[in-house]
Amino acid sequence: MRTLLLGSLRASATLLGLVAIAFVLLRLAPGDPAQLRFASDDAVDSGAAAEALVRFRSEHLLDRPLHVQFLHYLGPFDLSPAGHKLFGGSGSQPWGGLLAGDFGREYLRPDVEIAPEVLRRLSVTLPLALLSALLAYALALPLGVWQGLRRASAFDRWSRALTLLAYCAPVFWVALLLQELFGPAGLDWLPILGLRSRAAPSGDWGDLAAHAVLPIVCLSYASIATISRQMRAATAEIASSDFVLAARARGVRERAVIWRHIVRNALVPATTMVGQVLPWLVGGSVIVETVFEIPGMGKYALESLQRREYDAVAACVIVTGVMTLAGLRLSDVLQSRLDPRVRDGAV
Amino acid sequence: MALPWASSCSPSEPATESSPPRTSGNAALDATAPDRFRPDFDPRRDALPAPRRGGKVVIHVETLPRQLNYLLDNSGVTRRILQELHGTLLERDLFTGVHRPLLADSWVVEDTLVLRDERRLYGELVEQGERWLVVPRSTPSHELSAAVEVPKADVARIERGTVYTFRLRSGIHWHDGAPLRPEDFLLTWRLARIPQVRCDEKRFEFEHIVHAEKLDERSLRFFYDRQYFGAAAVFGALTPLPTHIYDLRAPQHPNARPEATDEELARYVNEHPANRNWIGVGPYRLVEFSDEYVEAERVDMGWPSQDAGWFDSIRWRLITDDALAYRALCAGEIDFTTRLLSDDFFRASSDPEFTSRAYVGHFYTPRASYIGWNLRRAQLADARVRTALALATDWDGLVQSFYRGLAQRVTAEWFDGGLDYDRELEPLPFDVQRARALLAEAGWYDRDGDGFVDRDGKPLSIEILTQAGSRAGEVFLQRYQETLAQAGVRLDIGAVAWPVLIERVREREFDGVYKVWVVPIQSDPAQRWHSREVGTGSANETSFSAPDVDRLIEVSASELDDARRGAMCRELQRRLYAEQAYNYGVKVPHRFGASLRLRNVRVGPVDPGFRVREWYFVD
Amino acid sequence: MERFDAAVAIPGVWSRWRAQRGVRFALSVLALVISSAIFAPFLASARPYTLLAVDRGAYETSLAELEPLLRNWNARLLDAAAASAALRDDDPRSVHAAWETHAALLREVRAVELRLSTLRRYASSERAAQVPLDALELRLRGWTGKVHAGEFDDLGPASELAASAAALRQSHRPRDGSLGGMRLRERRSFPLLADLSFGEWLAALAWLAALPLFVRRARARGWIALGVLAVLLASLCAAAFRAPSGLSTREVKLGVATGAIELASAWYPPIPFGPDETRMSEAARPPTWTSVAEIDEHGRYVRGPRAAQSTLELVPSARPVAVLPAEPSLNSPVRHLLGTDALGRDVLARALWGGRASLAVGLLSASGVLFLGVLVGALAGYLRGVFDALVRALIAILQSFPPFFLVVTAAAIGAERAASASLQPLAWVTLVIVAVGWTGIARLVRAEALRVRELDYVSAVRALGYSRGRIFFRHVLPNVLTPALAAAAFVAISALLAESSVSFLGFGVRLPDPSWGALLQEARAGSLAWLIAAPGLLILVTCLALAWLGDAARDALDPRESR
Repeated sequence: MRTLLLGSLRASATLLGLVAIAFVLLRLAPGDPAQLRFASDDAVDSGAAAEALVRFRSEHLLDRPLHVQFLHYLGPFDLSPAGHKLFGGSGSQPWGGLLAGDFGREYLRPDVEIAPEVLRRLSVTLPLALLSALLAYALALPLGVWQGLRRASAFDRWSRALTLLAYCAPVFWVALLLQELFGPAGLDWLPILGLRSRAAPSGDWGDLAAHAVLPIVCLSYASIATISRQMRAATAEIASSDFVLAARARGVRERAVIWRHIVRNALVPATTMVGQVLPWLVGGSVIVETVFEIPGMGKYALESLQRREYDAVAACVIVTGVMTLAGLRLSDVLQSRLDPRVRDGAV
Repeated sequence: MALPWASSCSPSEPATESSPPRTSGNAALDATAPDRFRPDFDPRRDALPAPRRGGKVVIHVETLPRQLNYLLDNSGVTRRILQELHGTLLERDLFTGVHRPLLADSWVVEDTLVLRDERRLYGELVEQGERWLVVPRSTPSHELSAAVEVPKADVARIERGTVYTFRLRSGIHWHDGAPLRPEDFLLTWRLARIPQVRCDEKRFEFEHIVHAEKLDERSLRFFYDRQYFGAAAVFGALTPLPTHIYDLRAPQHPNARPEATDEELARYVNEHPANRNWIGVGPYRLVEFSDEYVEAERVDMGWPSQDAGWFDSIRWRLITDDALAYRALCAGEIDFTTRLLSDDFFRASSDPEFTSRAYVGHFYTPRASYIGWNLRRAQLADARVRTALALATDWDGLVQSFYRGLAQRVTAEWFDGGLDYDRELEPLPFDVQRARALLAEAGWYDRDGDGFVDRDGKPLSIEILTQAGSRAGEVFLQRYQETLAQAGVRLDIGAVAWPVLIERVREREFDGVYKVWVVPIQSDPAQRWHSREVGTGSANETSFSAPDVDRLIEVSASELDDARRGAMCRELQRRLYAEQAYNYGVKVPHRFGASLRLRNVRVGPVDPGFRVREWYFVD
Repeated sequence: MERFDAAVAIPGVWSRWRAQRGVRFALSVLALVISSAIFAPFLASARPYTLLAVDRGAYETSLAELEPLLRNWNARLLDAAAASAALRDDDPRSVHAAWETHAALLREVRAVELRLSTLRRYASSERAAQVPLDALELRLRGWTGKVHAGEFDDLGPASELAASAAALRQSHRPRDGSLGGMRLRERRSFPLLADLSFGEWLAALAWLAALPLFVRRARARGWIALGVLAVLLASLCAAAFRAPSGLSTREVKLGVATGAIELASAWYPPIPFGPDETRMSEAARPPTWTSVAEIDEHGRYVRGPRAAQSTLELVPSARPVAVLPAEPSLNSPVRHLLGTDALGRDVLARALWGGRASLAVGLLSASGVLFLGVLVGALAGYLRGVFDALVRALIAILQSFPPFFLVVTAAAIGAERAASASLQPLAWVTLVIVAVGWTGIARLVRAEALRVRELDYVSAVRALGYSRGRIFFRHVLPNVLTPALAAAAFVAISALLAESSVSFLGFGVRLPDPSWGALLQEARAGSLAWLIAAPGLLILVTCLALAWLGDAARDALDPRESR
């Protein structure tokens, strides 16, 4: 009970730090969103626009010190002129901020609330990322185990070289090459744009699958390399460890040695990767979604970055941060299930 | 009104040195002919197939609109989409720019006569010897005033073309079924006057409408406070907003709160969900606004058949990367794009993937690239220096290579096909030697042996801002850096994010800025060049100020005669070109690619250059 | 566990490392890539190593400008005289004004001297040619001496000097065909070498010194090697991060082509194109060894998609391509081995120069990550307590961001601010990668330090009463390096990939500097297919070599693994 409490306390402190860093980072950026709001190539303005600018700044507290802005951002009290009476507001909008589940609205599209928007984008990105993670694990675990068991064989050498290649190939380059190769300019096998073709009805899974192939490949190949390398190392280490030798000496059947002794134990370090793979994939989605024009969170984050939508970028950073924390927690749990030493509190 | 530019924008215009060589073939075609770029079609000989309803057309957009309320988002893409989803009182002809009725089916323009005691009389003014005769011409039931005669001695001044009375087309409905009413137009005007409504880009347009009134269920009237050549355009572009949705205080609103303050109303409008889920009066109704596209379907809202649209639905599809748009056109994912890259444009005709599905063409709308110089900077205050900087610009090289000949030099930022543009004015050549000589004349030459010119111990070093990721800007500035160096001037390229660029220009913290002017076909130079616009934040970003230019601008603004106004504007143009406060660049055509399934595609100079509602599929 | 003695163990690890399969090959590949980046100015430049020529253009300009410059003096002189007459010691403004006018006058003097020296340089060495120049210079000296002394009253009018300059203009006009005139002499110069910055020289020399270390066995030279590498890295970065040159005001090739420079001989680099040298008429040209790249004398493409004539009223415009001296002929296969970009710049030259940016960021940020990670991790593990708790909290926070996401965000928003603070955007990207990336190493090292501090020998030296600092630096730090060394190569890979990704998204280098990621971004934006292959391959090869070395290092450091 105490560890649970401590753990959640630690997690919330980490979360707070994460939010603080994201917030400060984005507020220190040059280019004031108020300016952006009133920018347009055929904008013509005079005193009225300057007034509007001042008003916009005060509405969004952009003219206040950073810590006030942070408290306003954190919530649950709204500190703006229309905010909670406790802080001198008019009281028409007392609650707001992260703690009230409110990520704010976009500056440029004030009718767009960021929280549902991010969730909607996430509903595109997450399935892609999860599928990629699944694919990565499904391929990498057996590959790593096989490499580890048959170390120094020709298969090991070649597949290792191949995974090394995958590890080193920059994802945006691979994405461009795949687009050239499989797109209409090359073999014309796969669509390279978006997630749906124009004629496809909404329930056409085949079409969706065809569109998702290249992005998923781009997202997953680097993880395959990383996971399989980890798995190989773990398998190799355990395969040559004393207790496996002992098991073999006891006359345990080879199949049982491999499955019960080696694979099971080798899985432990691989599970620690679970927490890291997801954030990698989400990070990678920035590039993959940009190149393939997929309206997911990565693209949203990049566009928001270019448009200086501070709050939207902060929301993306925080959401991915929370997902990472959850992933790390998940890998802890998995590890404790698989590793008797952790399970029994020995480590 | 005459058709001042109808002849001059046809492709038979004499080719300047930088313009591409043209083959014969379709060159002699009338620019207004439909499908004139189609390889398999000659409008002089062949007949268009009969229009047919049906089908879904997909049109490429490079960015999605923030929202679709035209008052709150005045971007080009919003205008393009709203053209089909919505309507204006009048519409400009695609080729001539002449107004024709759209939501209004007729209108009357009258004048104002201001008496010495500031009383105003409205009606058509007829001069009769020593008297002015004021004759009301509006519908009889809505007379402005009785016909009166006024002695000239009592008249302070007359303002022509200041009272506009519109009669609305009958039977037009909002997409939710409510009828279109005059209040809807008045609402736009009223909202624009509330400072909290986020329409700062549009507000200035309504500045001079002093009064607006509803006459009956079909007619309404606006009063402009001065004689102004652009008044018709202001009223013509006026767009209604649904009162029953936006006007919290109107009785038509389901949750009407007559006591709501301006601020509450503004907030209500700014954040209204209908800004995205737009309810308009156009022949197409919005059905989906996703992260990938905006889709609309045809509805019968009382439009006459030529405006009712032929497609069952239109989808504006977001593709950020223009190179991918070409691929999408090849793959049949989109039917129309205006953003082909130069290389794609020229290779299209030999690419069987492309020619089996689509064809290419081009058209110009008024837009011109330029570098605006900050005249507050000491080193740029001298017109000789600015001229030298212009002489050291290899615009022709850029036209030849980057645009592959599909661009033309301009000498003013406004539309070059009208009477107000002097086509005889020669752009400055690319001449580094002359640039160096001019710089030396202005006291800038190399004194310290580093190759760069200097004065008062400081080298001539400028920074030009451009939007990061703007390919044309980045390519141009990298070339400019090289040619300026040859003239002994050091250039730093400031590729910054758009908001940063805007902020620095607004605060006048820049030396030069590379931008593109997108102006209406009839443009008022006052905002850019009048000295009253000098000051942080205004559109006169160069801080240009000259009394004679001010006078020219003022006089031409109130001149209603096109020929006389044109002459004044041409003089203004020559004057401004000699000043070189802008280093005028090129006008770039829209390079479009269209599916072979599309018929009746016409492209012209009036924004956005095409009318989707005219097109149809034939398969 | 016995004490890990760095002095003994590192050479052992070193030789184990070098003995592994492919290490030598990977090392040479890496050396090749780094060499090409360091020697990029020597390999690809528009300027010749040496030039023996008459710069007739410079001579004529100087000759023409001398007289007007001297005529200008009169006004300046009057200013200066007036200011010095009005000079009163108790009035700081008058002192300032006098100083200003004086400085302005001296700048004009310098301008004249410059032109005079150009004349002397190229004018014929005959007495008849040099004597008037000497005389003018002598009078100039006397004159400036008086100006320096503030004796304005004794000066003759500057118009006398101007008159003699006007006479020079007649007597020293260069020979022009049959019209006679002065024969100019050829002089030797070193345009390429003169253009190199101090950092570039240092990098090139340090690299030459470092190369043997890779080739021969290095035992006790470990520390020397480290030192040389550090100098190398620093100078490579100085070279890559240097302030933009503002480009060249006078290109030799162009001068020769226009006849302004009369060439006797010149020795150009193997790739006679600079990374910033645009050639608009040759923009977006495919690699010249492909058949579609062939161009006729009008600048039109002969075949392939670029030769296409639109069936409509337009054909793409073209202007003849200017082939400048020393460049391969128009359709030579080696003219542009990798094609050109949207401005007609040679992609090969840009890829070579781009390696400087990419490698500098990759290697520097990897060193930063290792340094910070090891230091903080070891300190946290060794000191424990509050510092350790803080470090752990910080690591937990930083690791809960998706790293790439954080790098992109920070790079994007910081680059402009950095630029306004005259910090290279690349330096900022490096900082960001270090700030985000140190946590992984720190965690590993901290765990190791926690273990090491409890070992017997540490307790022993502690019992001897050594100071904490000495224990930490002499006994703990060297022994916790193992995990950091094993991870070093992979840190470098992720830094390199991060840099190129950031550049690809458009938040990296400043225009017009090339980097591998930025080249790929250009390929995508301009739809130039041939631009895709080379930079990506360079990134891939560099990372592969690093990864191979890293694998080998891991095996070498962990003998169990190599069994």
